[in-house]
Formats: sequence, C-alpha cells, structure tokens
Amino acid sequence: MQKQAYGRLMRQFFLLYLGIGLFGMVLVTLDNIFIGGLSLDYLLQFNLKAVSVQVISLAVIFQIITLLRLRPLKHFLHKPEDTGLKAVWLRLIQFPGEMFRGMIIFGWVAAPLFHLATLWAAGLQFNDLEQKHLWSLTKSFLFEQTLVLILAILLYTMIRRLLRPMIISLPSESLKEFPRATFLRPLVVSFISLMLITILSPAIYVFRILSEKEAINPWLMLSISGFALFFAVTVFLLLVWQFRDELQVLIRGILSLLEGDRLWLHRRVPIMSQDEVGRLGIAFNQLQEHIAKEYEHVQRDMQLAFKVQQRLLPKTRHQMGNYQVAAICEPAKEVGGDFFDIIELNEECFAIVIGDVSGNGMPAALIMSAMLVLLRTEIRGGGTAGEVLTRLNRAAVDTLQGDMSVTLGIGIFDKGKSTFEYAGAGHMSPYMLRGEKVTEVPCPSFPLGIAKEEVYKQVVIPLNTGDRFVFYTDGVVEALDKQGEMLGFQGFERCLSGLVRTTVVEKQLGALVEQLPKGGGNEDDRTIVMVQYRQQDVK
Amino acid sequence: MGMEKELALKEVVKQGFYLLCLTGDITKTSGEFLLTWRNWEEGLGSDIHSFILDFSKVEYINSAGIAALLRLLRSLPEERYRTGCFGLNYHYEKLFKMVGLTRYLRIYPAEQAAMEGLQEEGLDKAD
Repeated sequence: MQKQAYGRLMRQFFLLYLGIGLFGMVLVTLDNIFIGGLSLDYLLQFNLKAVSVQVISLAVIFQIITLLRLRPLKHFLHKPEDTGLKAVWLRLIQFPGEMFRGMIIFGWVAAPLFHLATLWAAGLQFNDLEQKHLWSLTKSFLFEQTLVLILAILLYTMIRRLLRPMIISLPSESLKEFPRATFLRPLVVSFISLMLITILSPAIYVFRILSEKEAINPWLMLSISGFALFFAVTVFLLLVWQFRDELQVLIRGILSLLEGDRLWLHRRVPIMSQDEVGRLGIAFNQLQEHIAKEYEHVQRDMQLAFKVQQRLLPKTRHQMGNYQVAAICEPAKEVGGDFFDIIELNEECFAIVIGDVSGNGMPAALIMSAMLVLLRTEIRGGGTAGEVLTRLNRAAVDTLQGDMSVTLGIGIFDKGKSTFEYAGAGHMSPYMLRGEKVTEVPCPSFPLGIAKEEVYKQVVIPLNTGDRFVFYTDGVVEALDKQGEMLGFQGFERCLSGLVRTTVVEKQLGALVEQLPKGGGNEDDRTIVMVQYRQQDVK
Repeated sequence: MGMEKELALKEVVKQGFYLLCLTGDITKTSGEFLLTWRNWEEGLGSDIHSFILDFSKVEYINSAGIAALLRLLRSLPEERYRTGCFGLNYHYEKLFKMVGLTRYLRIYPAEQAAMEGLQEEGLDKAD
C-alpha cells in the first residue's frame, strides 16, 4: 500500500515536471512568435523539436533529483522503524524550497555560460559586441531569467501542493522540535519573484524594440503585461490558499474542542510546515494533550461522584406493606441535582420525597447531597409534610444564601389511616391515577431557599385501593423530541393515562419512561417515583 | 433548544406602566443577568404604578430562571407596584402557579388585557 503511494507520488512528480516543461516551451514559442517575429512553420521545422527534447531531458533530470532527494521517504514508507520521522518530514517540508533555489541558481549559472559559449563559438569577444547586439543579449538574458523564475515559482507551488497529502499522512503529531522558519520568507520570496515576473515581462519586449529599433505595439505590450499579472496573481493566490488550508485544519480542531467533541480530544493536527503555522500546530497539539489528560482526570472524579451520589439515593424498588414503589433517577451529566428518597417514618407511615436543585452538574450535586442530609434530619423531627418543609426551608435559606434554590415535594402515606398527605415547595404537582382518571395534586408554594418566612401547607387525600401516585421533576415534562416539541404537562398526562394499571408498578414505570421523548438536545436530570397502593389484583 | 438563546431585555415606559420585554431563554446565567440588569430594589421610577413582563418572545424557562423571576419580583419595593405578565403558554402558566409566582404576578392573555386589568386593580384598591 505504502509502496503504491510512493510510486503514485513519483508518477505525479514526473507528470508535473513534464507539464512545467511544456508550459515553459509554450512561453518560449510565444516569445519567438510575438516578440522574436519568427513564424510557427520555422519553429516547427527546428526549434520546437529541440525544445521538446530539452523539456523531456529536464523532466528526467528533475525526476532523478527528486528520486535522490526523497529517498528517506521511500525508506520510511517501507520500514518506518528504521528511518527517523523528523528527517523524512523535514525533507518533505524543505524539498519545494530546494527545487526553487536549485532552479534559480541553474538559471543564473547556465544562461551566462550558454551566451559566453555562443560568443566563443562565433569567435567573438564581449567587447566586440555593438550596442544593438548588447540590447539583444540583455533581452535574451532577461527572458531566460524571467522564464526560470516563472518555472521555479510554479515548481515551488505545485510541489508543495503535491507533497501536502503525504505530509498530512505522516504521524507528524508527535513532532515537538525542529529547525524553525518563518512563513514570511517564502511569502516575501514568492511576492518578489512574482513582482519581478510582472515587471520583466513587458521590459523584455521594450529591450527587443530598442535592439531592433522597431515601433512599439501597445496592444502586444498590454497583452504581455496582462498575462504576466494574471500569472503572478494566480500563483500568489495558490500559495496563499495553501497557507489558509493549513490554518483551517487548526481552526477546525479548536472549534471541535469548543463544541466538546470528545473524539477530537485524542486527535492531533498534522504539522505541515516549519513556520509559525507549524509551531501553532505543535502548541495546539500540546494544549490538546493537556486538556485530554485534565478531561480524563475530571471524568474519573465525576464517575466517582456519580457512584457516591447513587449510594446516597435509596434502591429503586421498594415494598412498604401494601404499597409498591418504583423509581428512576437519571442525571443529565455524570452527576445531577435531582434526588428522591423513601423514608420509613414509623410503623404506620412512610414518606416519598422528590427534589430538584436548580441547575445541574457538580454544583447542583453538592447542594443535592446537602439537602438530602438536611431532609433526613428534619423529617425525623416529626410534624406534617408542610411543617417539615417549613423547617427545611429556613435551613435552606441560610445554606443557599440566595445563589440557588431547591424544589421539593414530600408525600406521606399513612398505612393505618389510608391517607396521602402532600406538601410541595415549588415542585411539580404530583399526579394521582385513580382508575382511568389522571388528577393533579396541586399545592403551590415557593421553592426552598427563596423566602425564609414562607409557611408551607399540605393537602390530605383519602386513598382507594389501586390508587397510583406519580412524582416527577421538570426534566420529565420539559423533555424535547427530535423535532424540538416539548412533552409538556398535557403530553405527560396522556402518557400516564395509557399505563396498564393491572401490571406491577415497576413495569408501568418502565412503560412510562419508554414513552418519554429523547434526543431534543435539552437534556436535564429526570426523576420519576411511582407508588401504587394495594395491588392484590396485580398479575 | 440545543444551544441556550441569550436573553435580551427591552424596557418600555408608557402611561405609568413599565413594560419589560424579554427575548430568549431564562436560565441560571440569563437569570443572573436579569437580576443585575438594573437595581430593582430602587424601584421603577416615581411615575410607575404597574410592572408588566412580556414573555411572548421567551422560549424556555428552567427552574433557575423561575427562581430568578421570583427573586426579581420579591426585590421590588413591596406594595408599590401592581405586577402582571402576558405571553405565557399553557405549560409555563401552569408552572408559574406551581411555584407560587402567581402570588406576585397576575397572568393575562395579551398586553392590552394586562394594562386594562392592572388599571382596574388600581381603581379597586383606590375604592
């Protein structure tokens, strides 16, 4: 697979070199026709054949250089353990610049040598040249240098593009140190090169006019300038887009972290350059590593907190004489602010308590634990459900200091008198299910922690055989479905009326939970406690 | 509902009514914003006799938001203002009753009804 990737890359390189060579050939031909004044027939007879051979030779030479310079990559792909990643990565990062510099040096050295060799072959000295020939020589030299610059910048841009997927595929995330560079350098070099191309292209035409003493063709000059400008802008944009793409990879990573995407916690961004973008990538990877460790640490703590919180709550199934109790308590996060309790007060009475601390997560969980302890103390002090709440509220106002509030409902079932006594502190009114009828047990009042002077009252309902009571928190009625529709009180009442009263309470609760909407994105803690009185006929 | 909608507040004062239009969600964070938006304990101004909350552009109110509303209404100088609201759906109307908010806040179906209702209440008190 790796062997194939390397082979494919080398084929792409050869095609690139051929393409760039052909592009150079087109430029030479256009120069010969429009500026040199040669006919296409003449060029087809001799020049084009010679230039074609040169293009193929150039592509072969470049291919050999590429094969030699990218040898570490080949070794790495075959045997990663034997080749240092950093060396391969650096070679890939630096290769486009090497080719650019190589091409420029070749242009500077080869062109003067060629012209000197031509003079020498003609038996002429540089001092023997007339003004006209000097203009012509200058024009040729400038054309060659401009051509080399065009091909070099094109080569640099296209090689960077070609190597990018290979650089991304390398496990460069582990890189932390490498020779530093600045993105200003390639940017400034590219900018200057492209500016030179834009200026030199029409200048070559001017030199030709000066040497041949011809009249200026303004349309031709405008076309040359326009073409040079178009080329420069295109190549510059390609380079800038490459920088932008590298930055976008980083931006995507940071945004994913902000969205709390857990998958990204263990992903690292590839390092694609030695410059500031590459260093930003390293800083991002180190930050992500740090966050991942912290996150895992917090997760462990939260899991522990969840276990502790669950231990504070009673079992979810209870049988208290003729009363069957079933409950669920699902926090939206690892820990939550919802709670319930089943407390045996004496031989005759037991209490069902349900509560919800405003907010969720760890702060709510801490308040919930404190409230549960306070409640268990106060409820043992005796009195009606309302009196218990009144005492509890005074303690809550002092404890919460106006920062949070708690809604709470206490239902006391008297087995001897067969009554249900309920008092609520701003909590969702429980429902009584008698036969097919679903009735709310209203008891409006402030949540705990709001007003110290509040006196809570209770309602007492005589029980009939088969009566069921449902206590719940706001997370149940405010659950959203995938379309964003809230269940609401009416929706919840419909769910309750559909429950099969002849089945055991645990099954009824299971059926109720099944009907609750999910996936609406507003996950809140959910708690439901269901009590059924005298279930002698239950199947 | 995935993302919490930021709460925006706009006050309109007309004919002795102080109308507070709420837009967005009322949660713990926005509830704190609401409570610190102005010094409610100082009152609403000498010419104001009624305070009306417009919930018609509120989509979601959680338990912490309800607690914040309770605190706001309790922090207003006692007996100085008649208070009402409109724009609540069935769900929140019911919820407001459960948490005792209706002890402070009369619920009306619309702005005009709220203004007329509170005006009448004032006349009844004066009688």
